Amino acid sequence: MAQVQNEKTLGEKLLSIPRGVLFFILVLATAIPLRCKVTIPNNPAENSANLYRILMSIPEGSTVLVQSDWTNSTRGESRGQFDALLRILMRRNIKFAVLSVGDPQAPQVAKDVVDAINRERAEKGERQYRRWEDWLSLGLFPNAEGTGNGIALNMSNTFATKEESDASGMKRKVMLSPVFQGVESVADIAAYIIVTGTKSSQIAIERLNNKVTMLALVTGVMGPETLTYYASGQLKGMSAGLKGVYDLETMMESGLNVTGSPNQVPAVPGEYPGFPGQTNLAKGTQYILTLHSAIFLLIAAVVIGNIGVILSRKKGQS
Amino acid sequence: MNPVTYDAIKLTLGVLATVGLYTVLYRENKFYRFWEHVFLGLAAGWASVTLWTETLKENWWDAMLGKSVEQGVSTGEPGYWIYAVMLPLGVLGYFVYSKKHSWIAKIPIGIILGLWSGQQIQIWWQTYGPQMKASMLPVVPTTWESLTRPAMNGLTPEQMASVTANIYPSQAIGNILAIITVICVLTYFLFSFELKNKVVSSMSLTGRYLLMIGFGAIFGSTVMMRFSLLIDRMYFITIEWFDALKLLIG
Amino acid sequence: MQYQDTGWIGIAFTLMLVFFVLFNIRRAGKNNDIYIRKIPGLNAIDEAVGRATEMGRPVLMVPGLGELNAISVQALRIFSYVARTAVKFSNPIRLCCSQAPVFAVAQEIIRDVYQQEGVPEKFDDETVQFLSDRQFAFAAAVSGKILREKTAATFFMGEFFAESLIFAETANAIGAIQVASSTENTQTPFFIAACDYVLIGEEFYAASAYLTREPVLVGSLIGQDWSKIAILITIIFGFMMESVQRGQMTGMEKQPDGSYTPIAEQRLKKANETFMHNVFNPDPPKPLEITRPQKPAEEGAGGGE
Repeated sequence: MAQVQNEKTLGEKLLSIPRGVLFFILVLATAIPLRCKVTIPNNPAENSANLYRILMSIPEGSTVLVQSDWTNSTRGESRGQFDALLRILMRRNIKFAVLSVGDPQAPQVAKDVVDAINRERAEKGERQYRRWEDWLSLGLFPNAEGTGNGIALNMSNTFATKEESDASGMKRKVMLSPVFQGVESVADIAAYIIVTGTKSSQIAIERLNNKVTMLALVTGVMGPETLTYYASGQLKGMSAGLKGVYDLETMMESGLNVTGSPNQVPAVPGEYPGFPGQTNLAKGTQYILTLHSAIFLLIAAVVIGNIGVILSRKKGQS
Repeated sequence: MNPVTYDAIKLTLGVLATVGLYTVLYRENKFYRFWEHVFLGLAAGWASVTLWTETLKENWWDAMLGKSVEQGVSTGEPGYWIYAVMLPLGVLGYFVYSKKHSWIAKIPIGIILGLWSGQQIQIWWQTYGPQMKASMLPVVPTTWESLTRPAMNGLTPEQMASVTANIYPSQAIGNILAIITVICVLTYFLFSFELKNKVVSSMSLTGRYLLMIGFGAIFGSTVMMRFSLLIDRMYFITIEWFDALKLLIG
Repeated sequence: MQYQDTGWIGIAFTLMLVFFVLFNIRRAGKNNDIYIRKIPGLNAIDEAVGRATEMGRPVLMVPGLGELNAISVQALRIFSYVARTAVKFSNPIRLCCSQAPVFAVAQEIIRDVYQQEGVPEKFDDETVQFLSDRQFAFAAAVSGKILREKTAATFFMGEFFAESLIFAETANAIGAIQVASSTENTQTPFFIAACDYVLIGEEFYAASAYLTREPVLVGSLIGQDWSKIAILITIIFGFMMESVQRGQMTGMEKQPDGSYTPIAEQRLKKANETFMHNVFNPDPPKPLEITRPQKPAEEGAGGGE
């Protein structure tokens, strides 16, 4: 009789699934779909579409500043965003200077990715993006607030201590580089683009939003908070999390609002072509199915847990 | 070392570190502790090196000393000796280790706090001005021709201008919700008044519920990010590492 | 000079808020009995420390990942109250910092608490520690500490990011009682899910004012309340104005430089033609001009120079 009393009810069993089992299922649910090649239909968010619209409307040959504050800690989302951004900039001959204000590892991570995308371009016989002439690595600026203020008030003075080797190998001030030719203040920059997993985007937006077109590519965690700045017009376009990466990749593949493209965002005026036949579908496309599988597992766990609670309570009442 | 072997060793160490840190999910153990300390050591080492290379050397030391002209290497630059003033100011921070004179360390800390506070006041309007304006949403529809805003595709510029100038009923409803949320949530965060008035206290309570709805939405978005991090680790282990091993084995 | 050139309203509004705060700090200095609403989560602080005392295990505190600023200083003020309660019951404290300047201030504050309570000898190297300024290295170190020392109560207050759930989940797994508060909205949901008590958003600032009753904190809090009311009134006035004006017809067209020219046919006012828009956007954006070559002259050339 005592044995019968100790036997767990279904509700209690559901609530006491061992953590190890749950973790094992999670590992399977995230490892297996990574090998599957299934394309998930997508409908780009308006904020991602505006980001793509602006990136595709920047005049070729102009300069943008890229504030890259992500490291391998948020590689799952930020790498895909940074890859997509660099591909668009390079394909459209837009010069860029990369600076970091948050993490000491960020400049190196950004350099590695530019090199990787350059290798990809070399394999396809495309033009290499050369340091000094086409892009610059400005390195780390130790104080986000001070750097933002400095760029807003006197950009050339803020970058005055930074040097890079020119084509002949001589160290020269970055402001003398072709990247900054004709650029005197931040108002001469076509866009200030932030790729981050932290609050550094907000610090920059707060200081620069009335001086330059601002765009942000942030992680899912920072997405909801950054969306406030997009809604108030302080940010002109943004991509948030893995869905944002997938949005960018699908728009790069088949364009935005182009006839025949599945990417139609009525609130965004104009048609913007993609880059058919090039490497567009990458990290976002690879991860999005796995994300769905993990979320499905989460929903299932929430449902099972709730059923368990309801059944246990019923037992308690009876 | 050939690049294939180097890649395989690098990625294997990465996999060991990843798995090592994940073992804490089972329980705290020596393997986890080892990788925890490796992580801490690497982070400390990296931070000290970059502190010198990326911050102090470039922005302070080189700027202070200047550079002489070197054919083909440098065009030279004058030194700004006034930067030397920064050193004693920074060194004051180390007085924190003196039990008798630790108060001196409060001077640079006070300067940092003062600068931060000043900047917050300076940027206040630039941050919240546009957000206040964005909260001033029109709540009266200007047209009933369509319940929702029509698509802009294929419209002439004049038609597009007319669509953007009009407020459609669905937009007005959304705007009303947004304004109610802003007002109620702001009311919830009033601390120096006793919420005796029934209207105000129910607005405050509504604010609390609306906050919770907002937190729920944020939770969902953040969970996705956590999954993305796990998925990337899985990709690292099951694809990047496996591929590197395959290359190594040939 | 016109309003368009100065945009003085922004400066005036900011100065008004500064005045609200300074005026109320002065007011609080003269009057100690100014009302502050009690926040339910505050009772939990004593409860958590009491629980740690019963179990004879340490109390762990983390003032967030933020640099030395008003947020981390507020967190340390709350922690000085927690530490005082813990020291009274001879409970060990573990305060983990991720920023060197925050560590310096924390050491000062907690050492003072030990001295004031008459047990300076109990303040040792373990009490306040700097672990790492790298986010996930810090997360790994704090988690390790929670698991090894089996902390009975944990307090996470300040600026937290992705590491918040790692902390809260680890402490939850060992059954610690947790009180948390993050000024980051994105992390609050995780604390709500995994912690026992959470101070939401601004309640964090109110908590330190309530606990310490210091005139500067109380005055700031009331000044902020006045500021919120001013913002509320502005928004209510603004949305009414917008609602009326967006329904009005106009015979003028706004040009990109901010000037107006007459048009043949009347039409509805656009969003950028209302009174409130002009007040909040005095300086129209200037178009970007690029004068240099826009594409490399030949394949392989860099363009420019």
